[in-house]
Amino acid sequence: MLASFLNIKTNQEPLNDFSEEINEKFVTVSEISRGIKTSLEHKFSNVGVLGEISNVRKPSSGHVYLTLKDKNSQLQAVVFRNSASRIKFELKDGMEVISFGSITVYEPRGQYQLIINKIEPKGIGALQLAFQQLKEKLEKEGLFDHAHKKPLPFIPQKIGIVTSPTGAAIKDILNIIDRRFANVEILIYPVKVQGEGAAQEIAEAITELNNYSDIDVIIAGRGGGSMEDLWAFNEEVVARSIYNSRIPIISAVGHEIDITIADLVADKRALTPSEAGELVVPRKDLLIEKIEKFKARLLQSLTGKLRLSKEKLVRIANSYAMKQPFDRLNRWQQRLDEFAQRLNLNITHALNTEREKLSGIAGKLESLSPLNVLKRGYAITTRLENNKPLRDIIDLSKGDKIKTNLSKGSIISEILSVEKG
Amino acid sequence: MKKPDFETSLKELEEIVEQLETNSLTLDETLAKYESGIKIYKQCYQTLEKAEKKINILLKKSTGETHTEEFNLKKTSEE
Repeated sequence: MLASFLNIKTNQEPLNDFSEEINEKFVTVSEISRGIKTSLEHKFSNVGVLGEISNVRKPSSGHVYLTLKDKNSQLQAVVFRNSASRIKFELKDGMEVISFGSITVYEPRGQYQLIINKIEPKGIGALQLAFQQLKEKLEKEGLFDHAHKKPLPFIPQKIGIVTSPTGAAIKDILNIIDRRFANVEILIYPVKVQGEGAAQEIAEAITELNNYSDIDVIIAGRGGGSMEDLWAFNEEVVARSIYNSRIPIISAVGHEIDITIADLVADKRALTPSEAGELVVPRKDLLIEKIEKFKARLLQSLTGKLRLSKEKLVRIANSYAMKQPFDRLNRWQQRLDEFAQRLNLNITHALNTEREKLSGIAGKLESLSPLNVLKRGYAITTRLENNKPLRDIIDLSKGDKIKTNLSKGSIISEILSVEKG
Repeated sequence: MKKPDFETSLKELEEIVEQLETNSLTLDETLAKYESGIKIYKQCYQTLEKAEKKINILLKKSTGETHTEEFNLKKTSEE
């Protein structure tokens, strides 16, 4: 195919005689190079080349150098930085790809190469492949490990939401939260969820929300869309921000069938944004019901216990052991009564005996009384002034008054004279 | 975090209720358990009711400073 270009055969032969003869027909290297360049670049502009990638090099410049090859041939190729950054999947040796671009000739070195603008894997979507590659890579690194996943707070203090403030997702999430647990604090961090720079924004938002000490759970997500639409959530930068988040993260991307890398790294995957609302807060009404039930059971147990205790108390009060003291007392009382009765009887008896004794003595006394002697005709003479019986005359003298007691009555007389017997 | 979280308190409350219901405690113990149960119940109730509904959106000025504003779903959710 280069034949038409190489119509300067005469210049090829006499290379050895180069110094001898300067032919007017010769062209300079630059001239021929420029000719090649024009011809090639014109002919092979915007072509799609099927081939296998080999010898990929990625220097720090951001350009990617590689060799495309098939069974028989090789083609040098380069993907400049701007184009390279748009390739979602990673270029690897052995990969069958279709490379779109143009042939250019690099004149300083006399080399041609394919400048690739766009590259697609053969037989699979580029995004699909990119997803698979990143998934494999992050899985190997342990970003999906269950051990790393953090538990969600049961009742969040403050919820951070990373999504578009105008999308369907925020509406769904807020509605569900409002229905389940309305009195909760929410901070929305608005981000672009698709297109250029979306992944960066999402990652930054997640990283920045980690500076808020009162936020204890984050929802990151968006509503449904095509794989391209959801792509930001398949980017490595988002995956890493989720993995590095101190705060647990619920991913809520698209619909149930859309599994993103973010879903795999997240501490909890919500199938939809609505489900994120369900995962992030419990149903308050059910919790209230639950604690009210516990409270009722507490009260029931207490009153039950009190009733039982009361019954037990009554039972104890009625038991033999408790009644015994009263019994004893009663018995004592009874005995006391008995004693008292007996005591009473004794006293009466004693009194009666005494009385009988006394009357016996009285009888004796009576029989010995001087009065009886008087009845027999004797008299007792006493001194009138003191009524003392007179036994002798010694104390008597003429003129003393004496009383002579007879059985019935007495005589008072004056002594005329005293005669010694 | 500061206080025991809701879930822990709920579990504690449940345990107390169950202990009480076994009926193996003395009257004094029952009273004490009842009191601590009611205390936890009140805490739980407070946890559920203390927070206020507040939905803010973070806005960034061109200077890079951020401030928050109340978020109104109706105003913004036009797609």
